[in-house]
Amino acid sequence: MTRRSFGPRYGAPFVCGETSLPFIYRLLMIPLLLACLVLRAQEPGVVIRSGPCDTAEVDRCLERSRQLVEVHDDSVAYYLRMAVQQSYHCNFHDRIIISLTELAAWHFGHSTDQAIRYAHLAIREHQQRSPTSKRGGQIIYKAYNVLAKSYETRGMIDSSAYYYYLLNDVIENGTITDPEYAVAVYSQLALFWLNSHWDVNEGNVEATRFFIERSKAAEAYLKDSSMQAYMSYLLQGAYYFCVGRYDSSRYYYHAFLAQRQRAGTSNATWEAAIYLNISETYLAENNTREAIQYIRQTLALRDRLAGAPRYLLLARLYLSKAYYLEKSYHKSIAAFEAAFRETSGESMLGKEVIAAYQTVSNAYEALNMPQQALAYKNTYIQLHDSLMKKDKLDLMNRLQMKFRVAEKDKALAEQKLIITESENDARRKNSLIAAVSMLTVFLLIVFILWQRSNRHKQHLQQKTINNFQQKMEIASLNATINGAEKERARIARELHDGIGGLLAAAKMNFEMVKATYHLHNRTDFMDGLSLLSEAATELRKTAHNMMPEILLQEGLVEAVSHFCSTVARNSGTHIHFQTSGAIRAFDPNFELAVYRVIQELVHNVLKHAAATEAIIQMGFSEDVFDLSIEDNGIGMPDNILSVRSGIGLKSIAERLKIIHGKMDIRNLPGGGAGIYLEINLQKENIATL
Amino acid sequence: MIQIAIADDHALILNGLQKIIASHPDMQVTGAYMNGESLLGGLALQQPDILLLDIQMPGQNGIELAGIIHKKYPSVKIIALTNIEVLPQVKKMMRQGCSGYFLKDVAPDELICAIRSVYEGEEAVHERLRKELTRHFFTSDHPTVITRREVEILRLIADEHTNPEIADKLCISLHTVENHRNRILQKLGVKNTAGLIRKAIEQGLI
Repeated sequence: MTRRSFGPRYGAPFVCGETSLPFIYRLLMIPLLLACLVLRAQEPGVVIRSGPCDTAEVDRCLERSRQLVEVHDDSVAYYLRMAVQQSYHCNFHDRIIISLTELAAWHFGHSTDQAIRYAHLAIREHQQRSPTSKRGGQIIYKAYNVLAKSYETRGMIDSSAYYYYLLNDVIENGTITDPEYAVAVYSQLALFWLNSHWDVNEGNVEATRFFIERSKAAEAYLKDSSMQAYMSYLLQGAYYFCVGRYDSSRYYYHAFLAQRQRAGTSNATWEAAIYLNISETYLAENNTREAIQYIRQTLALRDRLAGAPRYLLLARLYLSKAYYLEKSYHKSIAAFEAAFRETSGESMLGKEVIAAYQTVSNAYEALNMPQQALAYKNTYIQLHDSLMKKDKLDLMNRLQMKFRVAEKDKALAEQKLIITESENDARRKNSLIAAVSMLTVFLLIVFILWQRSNRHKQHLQQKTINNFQQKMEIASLNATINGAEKERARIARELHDGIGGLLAAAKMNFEMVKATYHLHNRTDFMDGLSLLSEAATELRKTAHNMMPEILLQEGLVEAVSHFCSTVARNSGTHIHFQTSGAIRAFDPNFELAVYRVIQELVHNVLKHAAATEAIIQMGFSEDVFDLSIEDNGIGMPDNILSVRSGIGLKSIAERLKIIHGKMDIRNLPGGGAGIYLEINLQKENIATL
Repeated sequence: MIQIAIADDHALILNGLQKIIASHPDMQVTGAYMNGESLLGGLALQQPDILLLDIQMPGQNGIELAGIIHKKYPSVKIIALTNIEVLPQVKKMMRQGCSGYFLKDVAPDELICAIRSVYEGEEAVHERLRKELTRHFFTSDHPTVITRREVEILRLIADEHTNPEIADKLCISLHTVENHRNRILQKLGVKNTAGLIRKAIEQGLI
């Protein structure tokens, strides 16, 4: 900003109002806040203690100090100290904090050191005592305010900014709902930013506008009579001054004054501040006449400005500057000296004061009084250097702070962006994951179903194949056995009918010969005849064994019964044949198979078991045919039991396979063997008669 | 004079029989037939006292022929002369109205005797077959001998095993177990498990 030039010839530091205006304004903020908080102190709900310690006593002191603000400055301090002592004496937590804060606020007008000291004390007490009432909790924000302003005055901008932003946060968080207080804090923040226009990008304008808007918004909730009403006019004025639009600036300053007077809330400090601000705009335009007029208006208020000596000091220093610009060097010097006669500049050291040293030095130089000029110049340089140093630090601090704020904002925005992005990302990822997993699950299910149906199909196919193979096997076995059986039947018939018939006929003829020639006594002939007879019998037996006609004609039970009686006849084994259940006819092939099995098994018993008794039992029922063959012989050899082969067992197994039969062979306790067959009666086994 | 007809598909048998009969003066062969058709034709012209009938012949077999002849010519006495020695066949032929049943390996004297006794109105059956028949008649149809498998099952029943448990234990089907159980009830002549156990204990089976 052009107005930031520190050109030595023009005395720019002094003229540059951007810093001086807020400075003045700052001074008058404090009494306002003080008033508003003291008002709150009278609210009910405060803990009243009995005995000599009475909160009312403390409140009276605080009230008194408030009343004396514009009347008797020293008395204000006196009553505040009384309040502090009384509070400590009675150990009223809330009152200690309140009175310390008020005392700090009072000291701000006189000594920033003291102000900072008391404000810190108040904060420390607040932390230790953790006040019980709402007011005790809220008063601490005023202490923040005092600290913020005090540090700002002393050029310790970062500390100042720290407390300002604490306040800002407090309001943003809604901890303070009082619109007056909100306006006060926003106004200060706006001015703080007006003060911090040090960067070339005018980055402060945005911040300033932001806080002015905030302030305006908060103002909407205020009544006309409020001490903080119309503050936005003032802020607008300050804003336009800073951007160099002095007319607009003055317009808002006047509007502010007019509104305040109309509302009856104007007072000496406000008026002095506004007059000084207006005079500054004229000084900036080199309009010394108007400037001096407003400075004189300020000085006219001197009796009522006891609480704000800084205004008087600044008024005289502005006057000095104005005379210098008019080239009235003696008057300028006189004003300068008058300023420091009334107030010690030491505790109010600031840019304005230092700039005043340069002005007066220039004035002496103009008057050709080099010694004085040099003395003041030296002081100026000394102070300026330190200030410049301070300024530079200040600048750095402000930039840094601003940077930090911007960083913070940026970080916040970035964080928000990142959060949003990550949320979006997460959402996108989630939906992607969901989609992918759903797809995967779907594919998996499809795959599993496919595989299952495949496996099922395969299984079925395998089963069909197995069934088919089994059927083929059985069919081939069946064919083999049937073929063999057919062949046997053919041979049996031939033997029986053919050779059997011939033998019978031959025998008959020999019988005739025997009768005719009376050969009864010829043993050789008789032996031959008996051999012939035997041959016929054996042949019949053999033929019968090969294919029992009886089985085909009379069925299984008769056949087996006959078989049992015939085979038992010539052996030492007595065979019991018995049946149970309703005897029924089966398929001829089935009956033949069963017959063959029984034939084989019984032959085994007769041949190997050495039994005296055997039981053959057939059981008929709807679903199953069972056969038990037991004997009381020597039992089966172990190897036959385990291997199940030999002695025709293989052919038995084959036959059983065809008719779906199951056989169990075991040696019985007490000797002998038991053979148990069960055959599930399937469609094909049952006779289709 | 006993008039005898012979039916057999073996010419040698026919010859042999004719010779045997011819040696007895009180007997006369009035007809010899090789099959059922010619037999029936011959019988229509002249009925003998005795007919020696083979069972296994081409065309109508002996069983059928016996039935027809007995119905048509009740005066003709039939003696089955065959190679078949199974009892049911014997019973069947006798049921058809035959008066005698002999196997072809019968001694000629025996056959002549049989012809005479049948002519007298008696029945005659080959001795071997007669023995078997008698035994068959005296053997009851009811099974009475309890198998050891059945005793095993009885014990399992006594041990409170259910049918499926028994089936599992013996590796047999449930139906077979039921068969066994019913059979045991029948054999012991009882109606239920309680009776079964009582009877089994009485008989010392378990």
